[in-house]
This record gives sequence, C-alpha cells and structure tokens, in this order.
Amino acid sequence: MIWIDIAVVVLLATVLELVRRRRLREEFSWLWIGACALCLVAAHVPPLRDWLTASVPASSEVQLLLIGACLFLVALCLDFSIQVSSQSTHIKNLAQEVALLRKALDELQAKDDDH
Amino acid sequence: MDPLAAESPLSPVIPIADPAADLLILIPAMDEEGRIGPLVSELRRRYAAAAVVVVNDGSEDGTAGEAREAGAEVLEHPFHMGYGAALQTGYKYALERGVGRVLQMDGDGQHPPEEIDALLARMDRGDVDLVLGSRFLGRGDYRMQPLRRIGSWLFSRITSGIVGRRVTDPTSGFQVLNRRTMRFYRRDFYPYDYPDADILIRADYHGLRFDEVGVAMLPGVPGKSMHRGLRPLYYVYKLLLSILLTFITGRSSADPPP
Repeated sequence: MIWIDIAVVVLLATVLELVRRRRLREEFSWLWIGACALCLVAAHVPPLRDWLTASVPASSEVQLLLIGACLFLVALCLDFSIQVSSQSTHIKNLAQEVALLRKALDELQAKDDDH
Repeated sequence: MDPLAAESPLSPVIPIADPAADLLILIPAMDEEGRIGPLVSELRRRYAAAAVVVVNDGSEDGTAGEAREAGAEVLEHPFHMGYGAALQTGYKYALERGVGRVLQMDGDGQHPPEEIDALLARMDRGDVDLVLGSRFLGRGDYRMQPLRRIGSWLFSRITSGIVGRRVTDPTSGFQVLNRRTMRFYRRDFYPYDYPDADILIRADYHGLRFDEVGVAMLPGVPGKSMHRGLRPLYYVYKLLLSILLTFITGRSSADPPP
C-alpha cells in the first residue's frame, strides 16, 4: 500500500502548504486533513480496514476506496453548497448596503455643495 | 411581543424631508431605458409629495440617468442581483428613512399609475399589512397564453388552499406594503429573484394580513417576462418545497414566531 502513503503525503503537504501561504483558510482545511488521516488509518490498521470492508457492502479494498472517495466528494460538495449559500447572502446584503450608503453619500455631498 | 413591531436598534430612523409624504413608490428596474423616464415623470406629476425610488439592478443601458433626469431617487446595485434583491433594497431604504408605506410597481409599464389609488385606499382602510393588485378580480381583461393561464390558475388554487381563502393573483408585483411587511421582507430568506406565491404563504403563516384589489394591467414588454425558460418549472419546485416545509414544521424554522 505504498502508493496510498505517497498520495496521502503529497496531499497533506499540498494542503499544509496552501494553509501556510493563506491560499486555503484553516476553516476549510479540516475535511482534507481528515480524509488524509482516515486513508492512513485505513491503510495501516488491517482490522479496521477489514471491518470497514465488511460493514459497507464492498468485496475488496479497491471498492472500499471507491465508496470512500464518492462519500468524500459528496460531503465536500454539500459543504461547498452551504458555504456558497451563506456567501451569496452576505454578498447580497453588502451590495444592498453599498447602494444605500452611496445614496446617503450623494445626499451629503449635494448638501455640502449647497453651502 | 411581536418582533416585527419593534424597530431594529441597528436602523436609525432618518425622517424624510416632507413628513406628510408617507409614501415611497418603489420601482425595481433592469434595462428599462425609454420606459422608466416617462413612468417616473407621470408618477412625480400624480404624487408630488411621494418619493419615487428606482432601484437600478445593474442595468447596462441609460436606465439610472433617465430615472434621475425624470426626478427619481436612484439606488444603484453594484451588479445585477435580481428582482427580489432590488425590491428588498427598496424596503431597507424605506425602513431606514422611516417611510410608512411602500407602493411597488414594475418599470416596464405593465402596472398603470391610474390603479395606484385603489391599492393605497385599501391599505389606508386599515386591518391589512399588504395589498396586492390582482389581474383577475374583474377589472380589465388581461390576456395570457393558455398554458400560462392554466399554470396561473393552478398556483392561485394551491395558494388559496394553503392560506385558507381565495387568492387570485399571488405573484402580482403591484403591491402596497406597510412597515410590518417590510420588516418581514428585509430578512435573509427573501429571494434574490422573483418572490412567488411561496413568499405570500410564508407571510400569511407569519401572521401578516393581506388583501387583493382588482386592477387593470397591461401586457409586459415582449421577451421580458418573469416566467420564461425553465422558470415555471423552478416555480413549481419552490412552491412544492415551501408547502412541504410548511407542513413538516408548521412554520419555517427560519422564522421566529410572530
């Protein structure tokens, strides 16, 4: 299972580097770090791997990996949808605030010009 | 205590110039050059004491300038956000300025200014928080394609069934709102695009009282319909979702009880 270790190490290094460079916020890194940890544990603790393989209807480790990857992607997409929803509400409220502030500013400037 | 009765401590009430003019005419506009100017002029002529506010929702033509020229106050969205977001900007503005009543109408000439008095008169009779102008209450003969007529009939039947009384035109954009309704509509659940019957259902559940008044409406500008493409399908989805949520929770958990 050396290839899983390599993949996990590369992914971990990438995520940590992104967080270090502030390209990825800590709040959004947990899912990736968690997935890396889960992969490592599943790859190196055979009893756990066997139990997981048996408990989800998977006939081999490869299937387990595929099912895990799919669930991970679903979780990620849902998380993104939630983030996008709240972001779009914030953006809308900010844009409305900008419209109201600009109006107030225009009125102040017009008043200023009168004096 | 009614949470809608209390003013938010975050919204300073700035009195408008003329306290007698307790009316704000709100027009959300997106690319209405050529139509918005004459409309604003006529509204200014008829209701000199009222504020006419055009919310320019990211138009790429001369809508804002034309409205300003004609004597409207213009609120500018930095980018296009949708009809509902534009209305909500207007409500927030009206709440901030302490205006008691908002009349909202479309900028495409579909809502004739002659009908405004009837809507205001109903609001001023009291006992309602929201007045909707209905195309289907006897006045005028509004023409629609058969399919849209069927859809429109179906939605009004569904809405009527849920709120427990006859509603003929739940999607009408020709409305008068008081501050209680504005305070409800300023919340984050309010849609960015077209507020449909689900919003009316929600308002009803929230304890807002509404009534319909028959008005004549003119056909809209071709190609600018709010229900085109896949929108009718999305509308059905939204309505069903809101019915479902209403029945599951009795009241959407996003709304504090009235």
